[in-house]
Amino acid sequence: MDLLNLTLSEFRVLIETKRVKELRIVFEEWHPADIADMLTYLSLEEILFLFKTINKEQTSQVFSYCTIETQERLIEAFSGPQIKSILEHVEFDDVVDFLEELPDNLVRKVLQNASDSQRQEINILLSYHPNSAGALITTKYVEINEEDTLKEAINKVRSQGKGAASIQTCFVVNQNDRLIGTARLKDMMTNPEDERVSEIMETDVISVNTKDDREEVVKVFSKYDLSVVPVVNDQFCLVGIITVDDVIDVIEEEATEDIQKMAAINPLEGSYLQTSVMDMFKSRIPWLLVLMISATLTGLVMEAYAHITVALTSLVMFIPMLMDTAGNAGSQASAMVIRGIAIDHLDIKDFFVVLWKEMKASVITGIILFVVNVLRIVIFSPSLGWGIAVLVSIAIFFTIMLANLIGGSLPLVALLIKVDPAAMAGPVITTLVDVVALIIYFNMAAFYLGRVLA
Amino acid sequence: MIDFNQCNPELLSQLIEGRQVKNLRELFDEMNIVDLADIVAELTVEEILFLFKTLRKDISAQLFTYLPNEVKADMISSFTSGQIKSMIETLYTDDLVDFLQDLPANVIRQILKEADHEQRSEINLLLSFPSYSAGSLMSLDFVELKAEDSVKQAISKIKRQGKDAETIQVCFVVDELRNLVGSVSLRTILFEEDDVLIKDIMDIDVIYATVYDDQERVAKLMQRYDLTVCPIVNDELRLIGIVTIDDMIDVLEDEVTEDIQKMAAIIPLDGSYLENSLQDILKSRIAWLLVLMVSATLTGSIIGGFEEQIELLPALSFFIPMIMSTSGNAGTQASTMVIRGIVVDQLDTKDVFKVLSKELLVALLSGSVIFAANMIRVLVFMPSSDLSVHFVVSMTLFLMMIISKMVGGVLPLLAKKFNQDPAAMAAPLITTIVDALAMLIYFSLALLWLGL
Repeated sequence: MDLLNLTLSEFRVLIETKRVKELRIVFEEWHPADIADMLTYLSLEEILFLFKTINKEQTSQVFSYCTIETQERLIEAFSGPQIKSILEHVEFDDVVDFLEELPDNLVRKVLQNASDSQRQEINILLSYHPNSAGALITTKYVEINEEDTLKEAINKVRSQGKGAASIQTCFVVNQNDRLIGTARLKDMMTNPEDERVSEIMETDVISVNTKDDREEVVKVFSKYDLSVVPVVNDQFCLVGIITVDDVIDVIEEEATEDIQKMAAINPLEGSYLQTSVMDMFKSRIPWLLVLMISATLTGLVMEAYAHITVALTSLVMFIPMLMDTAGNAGSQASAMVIRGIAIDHLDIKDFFVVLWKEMKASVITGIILFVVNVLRIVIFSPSLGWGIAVLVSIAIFFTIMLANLIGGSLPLVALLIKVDPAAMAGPVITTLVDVVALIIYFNMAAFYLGRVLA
Repeated sequence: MIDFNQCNPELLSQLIEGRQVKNLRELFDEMNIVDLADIVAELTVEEILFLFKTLRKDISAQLFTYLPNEVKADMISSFTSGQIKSMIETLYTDDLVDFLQDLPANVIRQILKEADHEQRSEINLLLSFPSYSAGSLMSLDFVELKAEDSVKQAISKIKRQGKDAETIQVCFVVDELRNLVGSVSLRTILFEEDDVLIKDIMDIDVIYATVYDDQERVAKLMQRYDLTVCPIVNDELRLIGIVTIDDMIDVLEDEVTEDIQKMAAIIPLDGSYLENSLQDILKSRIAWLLVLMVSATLTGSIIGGFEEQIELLPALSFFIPMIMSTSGNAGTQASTMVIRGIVVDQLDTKDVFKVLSKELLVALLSGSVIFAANMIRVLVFMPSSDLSVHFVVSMTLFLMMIISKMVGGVLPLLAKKFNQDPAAMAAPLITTIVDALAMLIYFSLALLWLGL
């Protein structure tokens, strides 16, 4: 059996036959993330056996990579001492991550097994809003004083650094614990050791406040190319740090959230397969209902212009094409603007720039679609005649223009009235654009019929 | 004394015009270079050139990295050869290459001319990798240790090589052939005795990527294993460079943007909205618009086939838009969840039946609610209208809920099966397919139930 490339069933055989020596090698050699993957397929008894036999540090590592479902099962089954050892070995920001997902009785079980100082620290982290910078912080960092010599500072790194999340950058505070600078370990090691920290530190520190939204934090990391950012409270005292690897997960989560909102889904955490049918249903039905009811508007428009469709039934044939094109053009524009807002290129002050750009783009797009559509109708449905072909195509031209303008401006309007651009603009645009498209279409048709009949 | 917090282009211009060298240097020492770059970008080329002459070399090099590409190109063409030389010496090679990739060939030649032999070969090496590959992204400035080194030797190597390295948090260990054999964190080294050998404390199961790996793959790898640095090797497993996690944030954001664009029927477009040219925006949008417009003809011709029924009962046509948009929304909801599931790596083609059964259940629930809501809506708001038409409409909505969710769930997985991009293939097509099916079902039901 090749211990480096075990299959799931081979892994299970090892557990069943209690081959502790081989299992230890597996835990030694494999990356905890890969072992955690295997665990999702094991029974609770099998996992518990592993956690009993393998050394605590390694199992705790694996634990922190497990899915929240597995973590919940394990916490439920763990004895007090097992929870204690998890708390000892897993970083606190990760502990808080899973505590936030656990039901209350299990949170209590975990906190009961924490030492006083651990409980205090966890409670502080739990008190921050889950979407704030505070919820992402780890308190394990190296803090040095501006008066320290580099030799003293490096000694502090050695003593505080063992459990620290990052030692690449150390944080410099003054007597009042105010954050006044950062010092890179690299500079501390490559300069004479009797120099003071204040001489080599950088004073233009980029920091975030515990209350900042986590999307803000992502922007700070991305703009300043940081690997770690200090977090301060309102008094500018250093309370923790955020490391870039935690931010990477935030990026994925925020992206999923935005994409879901744009597709008229109320944001839903967790993986597709593990989400229950009920949760899925709940996240989808509100917008479906709202949009169905609001589509009544399109029905009303159709009803109001019924005399036209009755006079010329073939007009109905083009409604799907018109609506689809309007919807597509609208979501093209809104997707670009919503994304522009999310990654911070776009702001309300750009409103007219966006409108002007969409205007120009829509005129050219409209002309191209006009020509293609006239040709298509004339060539493939010659019986309808040039009149209808031009009528439908002019309607397309104006629809594209309005769809692009609405799609481009609505996300910015959402920003102005402080509503999430993705949630409001994505789903609402379709309905609005549909109604507008139909009104344009029927008015064009009324004009045309008036001319033909007269 | 100048208040640096009030810094704006006008103030900076004044300082430059007044040749206030001391204040300028102080300003650049105090303020963050990224913020300053935003301001500097608004100055004239002459003013920026003066800044570059005045400021310390390492500061001007940093400033240079954060300037917009257009400004960089302008700068390079006005630089003297000495200035270009010092720029090349102080910039990290990967930053330099990032920006070279966007420059016209003649400007690149001008820069390469000033680079010394070693620098030139480094730059050429990085430029030779396909864009979006790990090779094009990696940095060549890293600390390399030998397995036989003692901790003491290692620390002195770190002190020496570390000056130019992008990161010293993790050092990589190679054998005589420069094959990657292990990694060791600076933290481990610092806590060990001087005479311990590196090979005894290094980690041997190193996660690495190859130079030709797609940058998205590297980002996923680093995310999965919580790496801050990822070693990049060539085909023979020789260590070539490193990629640091801060470079990955931009990669991840770009990938997300790309996916969102694809799902909105846009051919992916780099760069920010305001900087995109009109022509680029048009090119990225027109293709799908045309394809989808023409394919919507299908739906049109289905309706055309039932023209007689519409003439008999014009009310039938009132509900076409509502049925279409509701079905479209349901399909998009399902496809979005599945596409995102595929992208963040939880869903695979083997899960197709799990997806189908889940969507079926969700659809049955949603369908029932939608059916009821529509009937109630009619009873409350239009009590006088013909109920049998509304029953047909509600029934169509119920059936379409099931079909849309199935199509939305399966199509992305099907695209993956045939090695097509799920976001690009599935999302735009779903509306067209769902629309056509919706009309077919609607009119067939009307035919059966109303006996038209």
